[in-house]
Amino acid sequence: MVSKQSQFDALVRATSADLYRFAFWLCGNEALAHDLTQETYLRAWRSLDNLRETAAAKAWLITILRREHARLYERKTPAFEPIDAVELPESDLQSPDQLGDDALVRRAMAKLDAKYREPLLMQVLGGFSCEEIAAEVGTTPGAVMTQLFRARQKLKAALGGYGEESKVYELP
Amino acid sequence: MNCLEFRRAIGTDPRGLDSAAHAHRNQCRRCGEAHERALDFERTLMLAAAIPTPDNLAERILLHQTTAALHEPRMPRVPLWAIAATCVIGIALAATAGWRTFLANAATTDLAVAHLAHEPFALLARAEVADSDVRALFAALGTPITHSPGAVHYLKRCPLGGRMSAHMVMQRESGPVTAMYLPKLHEARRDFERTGVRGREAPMGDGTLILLAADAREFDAIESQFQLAFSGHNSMAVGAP
Repeated sequence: MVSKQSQFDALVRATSADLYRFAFWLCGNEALAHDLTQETYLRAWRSLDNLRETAAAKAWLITILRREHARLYERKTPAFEPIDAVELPESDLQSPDQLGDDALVRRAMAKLDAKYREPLLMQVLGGFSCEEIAAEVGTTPGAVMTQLFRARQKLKAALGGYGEESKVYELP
Repeated sequence: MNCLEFRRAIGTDPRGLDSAAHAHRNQCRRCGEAHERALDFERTLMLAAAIPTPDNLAERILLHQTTAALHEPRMPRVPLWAIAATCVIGIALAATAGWRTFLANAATTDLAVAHLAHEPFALLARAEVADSDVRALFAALGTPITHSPGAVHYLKRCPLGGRMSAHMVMQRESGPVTAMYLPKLHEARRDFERTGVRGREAPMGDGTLILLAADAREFDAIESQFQLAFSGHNSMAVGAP
């Protein structure tokens, strides 16, 4: 029989990278994202018995993370810059070309309004369906579809001067 | 589905097209090309969203959880928690007493307990260390063994109280057990407890074996395994009072 700790170890190893990334895009601060991720898993550990389906673990963790993030603002206003003003981290494992592309896209993503960025990241990072995102953010699937469509349109518009790609991203 | 509906669908979720969208894609060349471009853009998005994560993120989270869980009122079921608490206490002890003074005055068992805080990730190690590596370390310490004393999941040569030691972690059913072997140290066999950590000190070969865990139930078995690894030398220590 798999112990609770082993189950939790596996959960952390499988999901922590994506959860940290989601936390970073929520708050725009690496240290705070790290703290948020740790607190999220601590809360998850305390209520691990409530997790009935392992397939739903990621959605469950993101729900906890969003609540933790909201609590932050209930307690105090953190003293850090808005996300579109921060220096975004860049991996030293990527090629210079990829690094340049990523930096441009990251800046564009950081400038997106949160109501567009959040559902987009839930879909891109979390692999969630429109229905799952709607349930998470408390809206309708139709509204989420509109937000996702507009998020991509805005990103493509922001990346309009993005070399040869500018034509590729046009939509009718 | 017409072209406009298809373009809306790929603008919403290019990786999650339904059967009607797939059918349209297969019959409309321009929409097929538009879908390819949308998937390219999606890959770009995924790469950009995947910002680098801190080193050892999962281990840090697990350490935070095991340490925090120790301070909760309910008794933990997993002994790992108790070991992690000892790490915190060890750090606090070292910080308040002054590490140099502590080193000078503390008993070997105290040093061993405090040493847990230096390498807390060791308790989470799961990969088994090769038998040859275990034998090589003991040979380097001048106290050769014939075979590994059971499954060892962490192995490092560590300084302890002015001498080199073999620091091992063995994952057992009752949780991780830390074993520290100190050559040329001769202590009497005894069981002890320090800040929630159960311990045993036992003469072994030309040195002393220290076992540390939240649960002492595996100590007898591990001690016997070490005795066998030392080819039966000092067998008087097994089962001694």
